[in-house]
Amino acid sequence: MVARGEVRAMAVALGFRLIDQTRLATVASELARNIIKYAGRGQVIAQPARHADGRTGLRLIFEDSGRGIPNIEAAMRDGFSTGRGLGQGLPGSRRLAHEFEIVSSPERGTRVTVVRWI
Amino acid sequence: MNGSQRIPILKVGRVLVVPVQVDMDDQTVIALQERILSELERTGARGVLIDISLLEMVDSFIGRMLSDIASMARIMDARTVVVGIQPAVAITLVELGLELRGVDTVLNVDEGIKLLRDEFGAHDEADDEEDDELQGELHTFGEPRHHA
Amino acid sequence: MPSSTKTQISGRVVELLSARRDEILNIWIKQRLESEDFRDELISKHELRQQSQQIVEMLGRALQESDGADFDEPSFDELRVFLNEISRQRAVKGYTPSENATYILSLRNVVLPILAEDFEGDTVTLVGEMNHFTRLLDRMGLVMVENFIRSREEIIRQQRADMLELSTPVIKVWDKILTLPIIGTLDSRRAQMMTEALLQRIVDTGSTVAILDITGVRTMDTLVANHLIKTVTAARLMGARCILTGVSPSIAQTMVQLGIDLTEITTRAQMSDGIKLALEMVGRKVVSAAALSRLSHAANPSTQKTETTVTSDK
Repeated sequence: MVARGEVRAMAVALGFRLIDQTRLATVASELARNIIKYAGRGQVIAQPARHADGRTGLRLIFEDSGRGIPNIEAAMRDGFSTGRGLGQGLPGSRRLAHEFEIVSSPERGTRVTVVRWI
Repeated sequence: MNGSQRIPILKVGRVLVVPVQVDMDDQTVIALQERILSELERTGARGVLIDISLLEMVDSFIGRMLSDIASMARIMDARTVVVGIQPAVAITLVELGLELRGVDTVLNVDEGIKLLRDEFGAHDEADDEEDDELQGELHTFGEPRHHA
Repeated sequence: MPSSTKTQISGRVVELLSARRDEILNIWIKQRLESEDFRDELISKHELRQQSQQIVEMLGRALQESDGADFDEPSFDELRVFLNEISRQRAVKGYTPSENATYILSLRNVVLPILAEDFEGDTVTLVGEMNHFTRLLDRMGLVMVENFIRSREEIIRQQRADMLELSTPVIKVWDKILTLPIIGTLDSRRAQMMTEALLQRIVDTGSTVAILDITGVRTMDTLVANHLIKTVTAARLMGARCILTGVSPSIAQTMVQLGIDLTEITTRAQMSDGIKLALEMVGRKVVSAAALSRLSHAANPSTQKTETTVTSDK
């Protein structure tokens, strides 16, 4: 919940419109929850970003050192779920962001990076 | 430290009205759901009206709560209406892919009460006023027009 | 910024510029007014004089304060801000980028001869001083160019936003009924604006029905279809039912081929049918005036609440 609030605050500060602020806060909520639910703990990093064409953006990185996601492809398909909840919020989060990247392995855990431009 | 104690559940006639005024963490969501269901059972209410017009964000967890409340309420013969989804929230919900199946959604509390009232078949003052108006219109309508 | 571009204008030059300031100003203005590219329709002589005067004054102040040092120094902030403002104004007025920069760079033609006069005979020092001054002017010119471009881009962005707004009108046709005529090509951004505009109007008017007319939509493809579905779903979440009108047989065919479930969406071929349906949905009905007057005549004129019956005889 703290993540949501801070992400929204950053989005406001960077000048995002309300709809984008909401998108970012929602992504933060979804992916932060994933961390807690599947790995117990991890971290969320929010950084301002700059596009090649000069636009401002916000990059959110969600990292945990959990067991990793065994079948990423399946997880990204809508409706998939290994636990309670709507398919781990991954496909939904991808739709909310402009850029989406996920790296996951049993040894290193999972890292999801999303970027949204103004 | 139960945050959901801050969210009141009011009984208005046969409807439970739940104004969600604060941003909810997961525990609050779960607790609220349980409280609503136990109130339904206790009061025998026929409708649940959840007002989320103050929520700036609805994620899959909250979305799931709303759907679950609707399902369980239906088992108890009660209808659930969610009120006040904001434009930004509506768009985000659609993008997330949350359909909120089984949940009726309306713009504001008035519409919500109207919807639930239709459900119960209750006929009240507002309806009678409208009938009177219509009668008046019929009487004062203009000159008769002759068909060609 | 490499430190080799540090301008070190000597104290002597600073003094010189200060002493002959008015002369410099007048020559500069005269040259500008007489030059081919003077846009007298965009700026008055008076304005030009004022601007030029301020630039020369600020430049002089900055040079004196900073002791002839680097353009990046805080002493030049006042000048920098002023240059930014002028270039922004020029962008708005419609100057070309080169006209914008030429204004500042032309100062060189005024000052260098004066320097040459003063340093007569001392060519080595003169060249050095001329270089320093030229470099300073280049920095000033660059500031003008950069801000000009930035301002231009901002203007374009704003115009684009205005256009987008105008092109997505949401019209209230009746109490609780909105219409959104969708015209032209629907790119991602327009579609987004359209959805937001509709949803906002739903909130503002408390509408429960929205008629989306796609008569003017040029091509129906997956993208457009997805945008429509997204809009319809979002509107439903806000308690408004959508009616899709202007659906031609070929568009209907395309939509089916695209796998869109038309059973979920209410469609009508004609906008008028859509309006009629919308009225019914909000509890109103369209009846002919003749029929209604028959109704009122047949009704019991007393104030008792009675059922009105429509008689079939005319």
